[in-house]
Amino acid sequence: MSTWRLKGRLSLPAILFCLAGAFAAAFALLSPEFLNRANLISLQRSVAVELIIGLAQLAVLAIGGVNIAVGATGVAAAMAAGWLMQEAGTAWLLALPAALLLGTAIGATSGYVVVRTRTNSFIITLTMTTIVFGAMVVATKATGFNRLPTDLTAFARLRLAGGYVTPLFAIALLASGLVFLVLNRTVTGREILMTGANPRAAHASGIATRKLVVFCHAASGLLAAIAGIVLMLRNNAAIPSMAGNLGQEWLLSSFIIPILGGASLFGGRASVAGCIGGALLFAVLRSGLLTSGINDFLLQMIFGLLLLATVVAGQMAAARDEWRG
Amino acid sequence: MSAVLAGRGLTRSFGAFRALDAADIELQAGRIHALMGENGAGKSTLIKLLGGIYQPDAGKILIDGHPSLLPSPKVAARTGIRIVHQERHLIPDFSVAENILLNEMPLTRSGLIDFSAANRIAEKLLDRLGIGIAPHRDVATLSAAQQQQVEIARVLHGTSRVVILDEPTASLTPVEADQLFTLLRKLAAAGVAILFVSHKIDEVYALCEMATVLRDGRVVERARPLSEFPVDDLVKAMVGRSIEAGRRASPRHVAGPPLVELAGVATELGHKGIDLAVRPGEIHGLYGLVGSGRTELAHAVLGDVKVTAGSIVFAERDGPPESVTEAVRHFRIGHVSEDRKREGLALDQPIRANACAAAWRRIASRWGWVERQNEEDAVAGPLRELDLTTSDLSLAAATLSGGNQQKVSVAKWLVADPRLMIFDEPTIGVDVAAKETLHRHIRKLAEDGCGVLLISSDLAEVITLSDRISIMSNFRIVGLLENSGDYADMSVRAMRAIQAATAWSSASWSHQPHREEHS
Amino acid sequence: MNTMAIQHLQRQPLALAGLLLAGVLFMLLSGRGFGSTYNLYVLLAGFSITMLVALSQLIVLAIGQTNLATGSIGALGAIIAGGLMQELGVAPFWSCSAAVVAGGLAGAVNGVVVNLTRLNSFIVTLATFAIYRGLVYAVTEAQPYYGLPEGFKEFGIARWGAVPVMFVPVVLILVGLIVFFGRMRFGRAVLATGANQQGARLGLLPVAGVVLFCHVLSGLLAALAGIVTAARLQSAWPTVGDTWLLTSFAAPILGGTALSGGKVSVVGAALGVAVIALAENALILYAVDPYWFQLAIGALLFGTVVATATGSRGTEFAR
Repeated sequence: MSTWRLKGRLSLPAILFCLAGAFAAAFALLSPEFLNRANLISLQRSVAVELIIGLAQLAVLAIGGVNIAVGATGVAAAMAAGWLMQEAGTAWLLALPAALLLGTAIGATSGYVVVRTRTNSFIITLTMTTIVFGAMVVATKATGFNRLPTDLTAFARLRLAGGYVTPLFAIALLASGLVFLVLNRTVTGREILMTGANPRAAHASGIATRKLVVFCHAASGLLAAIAGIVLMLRNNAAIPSMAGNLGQEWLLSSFIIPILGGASLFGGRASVAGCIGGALLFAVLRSGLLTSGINDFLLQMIFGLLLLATVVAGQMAAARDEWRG
Repeated sequence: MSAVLAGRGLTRSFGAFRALDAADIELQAGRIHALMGENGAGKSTLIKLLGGIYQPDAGKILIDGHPSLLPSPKVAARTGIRIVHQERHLIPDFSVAENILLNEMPLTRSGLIDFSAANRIAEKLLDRLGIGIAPHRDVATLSAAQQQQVEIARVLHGTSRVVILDEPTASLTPVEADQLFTLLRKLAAAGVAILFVSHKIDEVYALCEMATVLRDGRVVERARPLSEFPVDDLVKAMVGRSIEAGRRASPRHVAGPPLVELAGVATELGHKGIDLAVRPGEIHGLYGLVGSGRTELAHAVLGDVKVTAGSIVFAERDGPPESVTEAVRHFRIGHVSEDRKREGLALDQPIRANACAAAWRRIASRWGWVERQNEEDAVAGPLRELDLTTSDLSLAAATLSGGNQQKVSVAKWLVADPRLMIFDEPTIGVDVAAKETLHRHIRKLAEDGCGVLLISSDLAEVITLSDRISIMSNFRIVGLLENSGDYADMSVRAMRAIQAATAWSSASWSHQPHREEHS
Repeated sequence: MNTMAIQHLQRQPLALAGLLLAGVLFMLLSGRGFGSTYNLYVLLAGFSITMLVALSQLIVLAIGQTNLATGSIGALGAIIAGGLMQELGVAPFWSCSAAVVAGGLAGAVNGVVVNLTRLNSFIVTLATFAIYRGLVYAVTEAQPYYGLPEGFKEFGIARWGAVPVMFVPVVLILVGLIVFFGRMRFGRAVLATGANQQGARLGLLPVAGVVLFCHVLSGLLAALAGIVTAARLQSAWPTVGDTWLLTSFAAPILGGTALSGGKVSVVGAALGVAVIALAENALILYAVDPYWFQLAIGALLFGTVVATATGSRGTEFAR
């Protein structure tokens, strides 16, 4: 169920897919390397990471919150996995679930504090960011772990579907499918969207809004941890700076992807298909612009403008359709 | 004598809904003019046009006989037209003086705000108006009535030629209302034109010289002197068709053990010694002024406000519920809130989702799985019963008219199949036809065996629907009346109960309970 | 509830003052050279920069909004001033003035977009955070300006005993803001807008002007903080402001400024900055890993938010 329908015309995710396709075609015309297998694989890997980052933010946007700590949580989970496997000698079959559990616990803590203190999630997750990131750096002394078990490195190098699909991308799609089902086919998902759209009405309808807030933050933490682990597999190492200082490098993409996909910052509107389209467009643009020689910094500026344009356009569309009374 | 402020053919629509249709109004200096009409008749829209908050789609505004534009409240204020809104718009942490003067705070020679000069100016103004509030107090520490006095003082600072008051007595006790009337008469004597917006008939006769009556967005009586305007005619003008519905009132005597019984209940918000019982199949009216604690009592039954003494016992189990969630899921209590926008519906969610919000757990299959088809099957019946005809349940609730939105928030509870329904001001801001549908459904719910607690400040509605009526004043139940169905008789008895209680409480007033504003 | 909030306004600065006093006493007795003139100078210089950053956030918090772009605008200020001085040889005074004006313009963009679209300031400033930051890195290609004129560098290290020169303008701005919020019409209009925007509008206050003003002033202060940072580092780095986000919120909130708007405490924010500067200084004197600093400030802020949260039941929701 996509709640954002553009009256009889193309749905938003479809527009995003078309745009991503058009840009891909344009970049392929400009430079043929864009379509070679190595680039397609690397494109997929970055779509995979960005998509899961976007889903991590989507999980809290759905209920009208934000999670500034997505990056810090992801890095902390990856570092925990790295430490467990390399320093503590834990099998990856135990280390990875432990890392996911850590991410979930971080998210659940944020959510619990949000509902207990009735403070908005922005400030809680901002403090959580520094606590988690600070603790991670202090604990690991800011050194990375680059000797991952061979099982894992082999898994990351696997190629599926005739060598064109990476397992990381498959993980991202699997996560998307799961989020989609919970959000659109279960009572919990229905109640989350209702809570996001109007928490007072949801509360008055007997929906356990506080539990759902904790649930969404926990889910966000879990997805952030998955993103961290996927990035670790992609880099073949867990590195403290892999999401920038305090994980800030994930911040922009975590918002831009779901919001491109039609998610509302005020809750109640969250489209997984839109999120996939947003991640595709984001990754294609970045990869294409980088291969055509635009530097990384200008790229950040372009994405900032894109975010601004998206939210302004969304707001204008909303103002046009507004029913007042 | 020409009018200070006049509107000619004022029209304003919201979407497809015409809130005001070619309305005329004239205000004269020194006269108190009543603007009457039921909820949703277009009173608020008219005063917002006169105050420059809305712009008319058609028609014009005349000031001293000259066509004028009021593009903003600022321009209106400069012309001397000021509105005292129904909601309070004060800055809680600022003093009384600063709230009155706000952007006109006096400055010292160095250009800084001179708070003591501000206090002097405010004190002079408050003295002149006979308002006994110290100007240096923070408004957060004032009672609701005092805050309203501050808003009136704010409006009267400077040159006000027209003062419009929107339902000013909604949260006042009769004694406080009398003080307000004295103040307004003083103003009129000083030459200010006053528009008094209300639907309380006795107040209007006590205070005003003439009345303009709106119904369904049209002026049905224009500036008619109240001395030649019998009460019956005025009521007929206001209520129109729905008074016919009112005549059909047929209270029943419902016997049997109560569905829910409150005994000696006190709450954290200041309720004391509340006794109340609702039987299965009974419509129990809960009448009182805004701010008398009715909504808050409903929240106590729902488990949202802490009960500090006494007991709430349900037929099957002891209450109160621990949370609204428990109230809905296990006690099967439904609640249509007075605040439709904020508590009733999520306007940007589909109609289908809104109608299912209280019942997803019943609709879902095992494992919490919900398909769209399950939802549509569940809501089809209730929506049809409520005559809600819409082609597409995926549209946002915001696309519906106010009356249909209210129907969706009732349908939500029909889907959930409650044992006890609490309706809080169910027909506020709803057109007459939708109101009749809703009334019919409240009756049908009761006939099907559901207990109904009906909260309303519309006495006619309470008398039309209820079997028994509890009267609430100042967070206490001050009377329990068997409904005779006769409006004249019942309204006198209800008012008498409230007045007796206020007279008693103002004589031995020791402390005022904490009130939550629900306006 | 309002009276509770008022009590917080007074209680939080008091608690902070107590914490500060205890911290200073402890450090004085610790025998790690805390009381030396040079260390006090380092402390005050750190205070000056963080104070500007905190005020830049406080002014938008006053209207219940946020400015995530303070760090990026700070970097913009630093590199515009640095670039003008080094590349174009413009005099320090004019370079810095131009940089401050640019900061004001960057803030004005935030304010105008917020006013026109009525979008949440969070998402608007998240976008401009990326735009300004990208601009800074694109222009400088991530390289700092080292060749700054002596006069400018002198400003960054000049001191009278323990008092850095840069401390003076910061104190003046602090006093100015105290007067602004306490005794000036426009300052009161800012607080009124933050407390009750609809009430302010119906009370005929210039709400849109207030919103624009606060974003512009926030930009001006952020750019100034960036310039002072460049003076202190003796070079203008594009990385200026990378770590400001937390501290910019931490100091005002520690000092009792409400996230919801309408309640500010400039003195409280100054005490908050002092506590933060003291913590930073103590960690340096004890040679502790600087990441403990982030952890400590995060924990302190976390504790404050939890301790001051309203525990009552009601119809307030947070997500």
